[in-house]
Amino acid sequence: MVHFTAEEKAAVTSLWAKVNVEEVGGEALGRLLVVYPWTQRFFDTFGNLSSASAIMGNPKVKAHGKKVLTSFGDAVKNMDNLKPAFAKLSELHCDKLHVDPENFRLLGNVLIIILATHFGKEFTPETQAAWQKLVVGVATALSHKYH
Amino acid sequence: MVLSAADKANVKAVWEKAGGNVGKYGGEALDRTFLSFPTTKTYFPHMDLTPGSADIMAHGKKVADALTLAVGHMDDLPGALSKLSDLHAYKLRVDPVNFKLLSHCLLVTLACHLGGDFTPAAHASLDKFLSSVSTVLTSKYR
Repeated sequence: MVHFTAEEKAAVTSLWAKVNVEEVGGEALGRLLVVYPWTQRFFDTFGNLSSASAIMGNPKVKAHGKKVLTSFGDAVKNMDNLKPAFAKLSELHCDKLHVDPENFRLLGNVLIIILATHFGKEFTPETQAAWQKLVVGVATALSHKYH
Repeated sequence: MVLSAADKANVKAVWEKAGGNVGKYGGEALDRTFLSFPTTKTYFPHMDLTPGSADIMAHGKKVADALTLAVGHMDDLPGALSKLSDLHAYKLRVDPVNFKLLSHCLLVTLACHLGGDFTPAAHASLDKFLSSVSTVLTSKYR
């Protein structure tokens, strides 16, 4: 289980309060598909993913990105019990979606880079470190029910 | 993995935007790496690893200068980085996993400072570039 100090929790929650989940969610999923094109394998039904601009402007990508990041918000609310919080989603990603957990790590790091572009200097090394712990915790929690 | 003409153009453009700050960014990337991934500190017992230390800034500039050299020789990274490749293989022997960690923190640093200029396409190209550099630096390991 990941343990967060009070400072780490504060760094995460204070930044999260300023995040536009719809905008950042769409960007995060979009960038994942642009930077790591093999991740497009899960999204055959999403339509035009033929270029960076097509991906970033794709309404299905934006909608799904929002869904994914909204779920991430649950992580921020449950930093002390990520595994139980994500148990059902873990089963879903294994049994129904068949997503290699490596993809959770890729998305987590892309999210961090997007937070960096939005928050600039405010995304200090200390803030980044707290977020790195969180994304690792989420990735681990989402992988926990895999078999 | 091959760097396309577009990738090379993107990398050069980002490096130009970073301009005279690349040395500073190298130091910041190291700070971020040591804080987020403490295991990376094991390679630097000889250095003062307090965030922002003179040692870290000097080493960051070294790393940045090597990357600047790489940016200027994207058509022949193995040739341009041959000496550094020898160094990492025979002397430093930094485990390959760590190149991904530093590369990620370099991207975060650039993202922080370039904001919207760090577009998805630029991000993709930089990621590919750093991955190529990492591959070259570990190519003589065994």
